[in-house]
Amino acid sequence: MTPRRGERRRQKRSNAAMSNADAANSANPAILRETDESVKIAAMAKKLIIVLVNTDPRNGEELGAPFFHAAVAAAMDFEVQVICAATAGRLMKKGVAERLTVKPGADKTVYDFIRDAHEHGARFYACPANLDLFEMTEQDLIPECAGLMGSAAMIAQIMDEDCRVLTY
Amino acid sequence: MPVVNGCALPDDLLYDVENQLWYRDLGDGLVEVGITAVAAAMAGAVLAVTPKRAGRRLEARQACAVVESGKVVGSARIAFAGQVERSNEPLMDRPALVNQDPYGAAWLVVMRPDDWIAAKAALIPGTAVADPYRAKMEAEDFPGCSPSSPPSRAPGGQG
Repeated sequence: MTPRRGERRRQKRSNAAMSNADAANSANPAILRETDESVKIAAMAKKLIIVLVNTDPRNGEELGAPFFHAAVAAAMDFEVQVICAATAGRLMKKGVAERLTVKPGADKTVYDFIRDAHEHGARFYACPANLDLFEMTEQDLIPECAGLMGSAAMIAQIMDEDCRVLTY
Repeated sequence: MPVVNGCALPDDLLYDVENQLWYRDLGDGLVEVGITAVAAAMAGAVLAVTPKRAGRRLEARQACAVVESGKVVGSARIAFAGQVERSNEPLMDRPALVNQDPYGAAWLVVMRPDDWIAAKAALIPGTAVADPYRAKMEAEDFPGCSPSSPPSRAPGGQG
């Protein structure tokens, strides 16, 4: 793809500026490393939203990774929200996750994975539509679930530049 | 050197028993940090370690590293505010060192604390750590370290 003329000029100026900066930095590798790290830290998002839509409670092998990733991200001090929608919404219903394991015979249940992530600070939400879909009320949600998060609230957060999203 | 329920706790180090971290004063305002043999044994076979990168600023109780095993995800929460001066990034390629050499090759980060004098006063010297650690292990219902082999990977893998 060829950039338009105005873009080409801007790109040329930008390339020249980058070349000057690279030349200066290459003369001092320590500055290069420090600058790179400062930029990375400043640019790093603070929030991770994990959306479970396709995760099917009927397939145990799918159920560990999302919650494990949530636990790790929370342990890394990121703000983590896990939103369970569609089929995955079943996992927020009391009694469901504690009957499931990632592999047959495992002593750690899916509910244990959820609790681990919750203990590290991850916050769990169910989709409001799940209440009707699975014929439950908010009282049926596991205690680790902070409540319901509507689609607009989820999307508003996702569009924030300080946020990254993983879907499962 | 104190050995509590088979777990070594070198007496030349300082300890934060609650968060299961050790601290080694390197002089020049630098402090090396790692997780204790007890924490490593509790975690089981460590599968991944991610120390914070050099240059990061950490506040007290923030994670200076995250340790993952088949059994747990653990964050190594630093006792004081400061700057990460060095990060043991090679450890990411050899996480088993956390089980094999927790007080040596498996150091996590070297910190430059904002106020080491104050931070040091809140830590427990190795010469006095045996009793608090014994209490910690009892509270956690942890029987002790096995010198022959690290605990095997617990079932239930995250996929």
